[in-house]
Amino acid sequence: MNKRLNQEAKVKGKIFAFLLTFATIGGVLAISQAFLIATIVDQVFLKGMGISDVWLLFVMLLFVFISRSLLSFMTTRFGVKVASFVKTMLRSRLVSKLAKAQPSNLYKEKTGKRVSVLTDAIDQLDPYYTSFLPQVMQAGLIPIMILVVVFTQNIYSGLIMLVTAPLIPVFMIIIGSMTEKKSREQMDSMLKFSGHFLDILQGLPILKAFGQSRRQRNEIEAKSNQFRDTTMAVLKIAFLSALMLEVLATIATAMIAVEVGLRLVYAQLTFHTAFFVLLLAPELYMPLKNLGASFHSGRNSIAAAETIWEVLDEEEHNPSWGGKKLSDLHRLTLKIENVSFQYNEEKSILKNINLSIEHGERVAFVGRSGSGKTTLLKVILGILPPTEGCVMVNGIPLTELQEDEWLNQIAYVSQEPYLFSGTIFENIRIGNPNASREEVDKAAKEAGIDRFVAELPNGLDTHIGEAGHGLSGGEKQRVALARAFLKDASLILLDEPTAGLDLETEAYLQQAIEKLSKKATIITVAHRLQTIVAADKIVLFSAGEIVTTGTHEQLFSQNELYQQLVSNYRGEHT
Amino acid sequence: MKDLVPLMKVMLVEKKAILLAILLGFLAAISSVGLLGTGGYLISQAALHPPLYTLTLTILFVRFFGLSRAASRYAERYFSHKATFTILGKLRVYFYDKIEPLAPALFASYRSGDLLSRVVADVERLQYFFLRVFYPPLVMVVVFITTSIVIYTFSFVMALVLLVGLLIVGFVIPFFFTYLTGNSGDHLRQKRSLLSVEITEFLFGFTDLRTNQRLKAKQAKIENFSADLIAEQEKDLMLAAKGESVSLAAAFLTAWVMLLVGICYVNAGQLNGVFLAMLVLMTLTVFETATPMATIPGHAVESKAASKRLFQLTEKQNKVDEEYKKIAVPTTPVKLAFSAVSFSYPNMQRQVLKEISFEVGQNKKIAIVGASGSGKSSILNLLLKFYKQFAGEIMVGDVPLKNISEEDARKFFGVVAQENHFFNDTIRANLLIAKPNATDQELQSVLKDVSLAHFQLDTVLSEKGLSLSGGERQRLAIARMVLKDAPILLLDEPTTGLDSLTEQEVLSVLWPKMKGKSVIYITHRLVGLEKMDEIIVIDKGKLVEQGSDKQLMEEKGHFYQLKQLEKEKFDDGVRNVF
Repeated sequence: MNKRLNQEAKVKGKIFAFLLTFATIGGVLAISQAFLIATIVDQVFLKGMGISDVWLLFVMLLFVFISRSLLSFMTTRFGVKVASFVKTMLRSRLVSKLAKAQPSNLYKEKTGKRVSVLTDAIDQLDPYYTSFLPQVMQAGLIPIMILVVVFTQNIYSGLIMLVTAPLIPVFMIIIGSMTEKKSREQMDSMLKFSGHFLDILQGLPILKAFGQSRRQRNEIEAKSNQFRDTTMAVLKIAFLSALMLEVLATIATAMIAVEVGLRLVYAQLTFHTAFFVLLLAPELYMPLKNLGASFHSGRNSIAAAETIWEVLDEEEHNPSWGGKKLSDLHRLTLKIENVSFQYNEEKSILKNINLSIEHGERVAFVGRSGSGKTTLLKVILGILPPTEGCVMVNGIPLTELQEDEWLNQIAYVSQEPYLFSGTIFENIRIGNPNASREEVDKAAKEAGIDRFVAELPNGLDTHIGEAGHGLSGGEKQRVALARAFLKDASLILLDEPTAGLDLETEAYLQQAIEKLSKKATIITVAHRLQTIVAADKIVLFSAGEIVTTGTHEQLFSQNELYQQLVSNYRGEHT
Repeated sequence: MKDLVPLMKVMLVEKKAILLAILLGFLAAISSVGLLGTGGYLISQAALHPPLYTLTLTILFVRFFGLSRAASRYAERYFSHKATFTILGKLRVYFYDKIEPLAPALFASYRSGDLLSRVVADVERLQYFFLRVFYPPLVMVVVFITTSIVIYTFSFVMALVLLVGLLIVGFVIPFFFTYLTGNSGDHLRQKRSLLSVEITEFLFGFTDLRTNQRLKAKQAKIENFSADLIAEQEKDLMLAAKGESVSLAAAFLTAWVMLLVGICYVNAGQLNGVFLAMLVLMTLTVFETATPMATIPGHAVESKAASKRLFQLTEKQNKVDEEYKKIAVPTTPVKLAFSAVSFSYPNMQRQVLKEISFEVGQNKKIAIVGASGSGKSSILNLLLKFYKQFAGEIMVGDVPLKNISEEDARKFFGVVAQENHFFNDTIRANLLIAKPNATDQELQSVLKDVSLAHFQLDTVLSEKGLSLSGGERQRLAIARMVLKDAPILLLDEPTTGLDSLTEQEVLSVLWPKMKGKSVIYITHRLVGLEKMDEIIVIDKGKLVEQGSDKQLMEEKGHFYQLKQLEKEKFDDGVRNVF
């Protein structure tokens, strides 16, 4: 059992009370069934009664049968309801947690895992509530109830059961500690083998290019069989333990049958008691065996839950916001004061940054990759809360501003903007959901989208796939720029592309940025000399620190690092 | 059912194992029935207080059934799992054979890279088809028929009752619930994929959503889709639960009717009362084999869907009927000629190549340059016959490429791409792909040749070779190309994504290998192109310029502008210099 999974469900009500009640009713019904059948057969077989004498018992038996099937449905239904509740709540909690801040944005590979936590891991919780938990209750309760009843009937059968029944959980624990671990390892390597199959499929183009794809099929079969054989060797042992359980249950049943049979011969027992006990024997072992069967799925759920807790328990570094409003929305002065940033315990990415940016300035961030340029952009954006220091906007700390008001002023164009599935039109309108068709058209034109859109079948209304599949990096940036135009932002944060763009896209980007910079403050992580030279202020980064700031002329005449940088790419490229 | 026929065919290759598993499953189930039946008979007999020796045989049977049930259940588990794993292996090979001809065109035509993971997961799912869908009904039918025959010796009507019960629990109810389940598998998948798209956008597009203040809307959307999905899942689970309890009720009802009929017969003196307990116990136990039937609809729907997806995928092979000429294995370069080649990827509207014509003479080295996304790489895809439908003509020597088989065509080319796949296997295995019969010595000398002498052949590479640095991966790819020793080299952006120092290292390893070969060097980096005999500039699928580095620089056209632009860029590579 998993404490936290039980805890999550408790909000829904007293699940244990419910499940225990269900299990108790189940036990009573099982015992009643055995009793009724034993009585009916006894009366007809030995007492020579007719159907008219036992009809009431028959009706009662029918009632018990129907109740048992109803109860099985009710138990699952309850589990399903609890599961739905927990799943809804957990997903919503995960989403709101992730919506607040996402420092993992720094680590792309984590994002993929998160998607599966939010989808698959949550879906895998069902079996815990629908089968595992009810069966734990049943296995804990019903055998004891039956044992008590059997003891009142026939001490010897009771003793046989008392000795054998606890052995089943004991065996399960032994299996748990001995073979399960091994068979789990083996199952893991089976999974890995699936990974191998995937690896080969992904490598097919290479295999084909080298003419080896046919040969690989034999390899797959050989490896499959090899894995099968090693797996079977392990499963053999795992099954052996299951065999012991089975032997125990059957031998016990056989022993009881023989024992009560022999006592019956010597008239130490009535037929009714003997038959009753024999009917109860399988009912005793059934819940224990069922538990063994749902053990695996229960553990899968628990493992999935662990991945969920991991995300939920992650320490939060949320940027905080306040309620202050800016007095002059269209004149922004930024002051970055003593800003440092580091992610968890890792080495610091920004160290003690001080920088002020005036309204309407064009600022270029320059430096090698990993020197902290993009991180500072994200700090200004308000996505990453600085570990130390603060960003002041018109004299007010960013953390005291209203989030929405701040974001209304900003347009952020990353190296690879994310486009959402939908039309290009919709993607631009994200910048301002209230914009009219004309305004979107105008923004599209200003960002130079109209040219490449003209080649598409439905123009701006062309559907683009998930993540903007089918558009190039430069085209995606132009869409993001159109969002910026539509927004009429007063601060633009731009990550210039490094990838090889075609001449036309380059030209359009340049024009668009030129137009934007007339109205707004613009901070660029720059890769083009043109941008850098045209900047009012160049900020040179190295290893998370600002080395110097100034205009191109100033830096070129004073800073050796900058000189090197410029001459390096004016000259030959290597 | 139609969707499952090809699956059955693959599965039935393992006839022997399947029959054995079914036989053992039958033995296990019939032993259960026997155990409780003889147990009931034993106590009924005993109740009449006969001399003890008359019971010996029954006691023996009780013990025998007890042991045989345990033993046969064990063997059944063993063999059914073995059969399952063997089937899995066969399924993998089967689908590999189907998918192999489709790569890599198939991969490109799908939305994300998850196609392959889906294929693997679907294949995995199908392995349980045997264990969960195919096997239980067979075992059940055999057990019920056997039990009915035994009961028939006592009473025809009771045997009939049992068979009717079987019909209802084993077939009518599962079919009815399969009918009710209907397309819910599809609905479920649809809802799940809707949610998964939203979540992917939420997480990957987080920054864009946030700066455009769309997070709340997205969150609401996710909660909606999540509620939809969970409601659908709930519906599904409830239906399954209903199916199970209806089956249970039907099984109980059968036992009830059996008891009723039995009593009537005893009353009428047509049945000895001593058998009554036995018959009731047998009936109650025999339905244990019917319990798995309740879960069949769910598994069947799942298998059907998985099977349908897989077979649809493989059906897509549109066969291009071509007459292949047998050609000799090439050892020296031949002339390549493209004339008016136009090409667009399947299901894409844009043409990536528009009437391209050029030649690559014997031992000539040409560069194809252009922005990323200009269609350069499709030239390589066409030459390797990864895509076969294009307009125009490509001549390899004096034979049209269309008339050369895929395998023969690929013998002409040695390839180094931007991203080269490495298998999660030893370095040796990764190299042997290029030359299966190479000796260790040969491999080691090639490694040395690409400055990777420090590599051990037995080192296992991590998934996709990610444990290696970018430069190491490219040099290892060059090693494979050298081992293959093909007459024409296709180099597709071999240094993209590397910093300039590493780029230099890789290029310095690469240049000497070009001696005596024809070369097509595809790149958007304009470094070192003066070493090439000719440069072809492609812009948006069109050939815009052609000539030597010197000529093109003098013409001051497109190439010149690109070069100016590149000079103007700080790129990460340059910055690494200081």
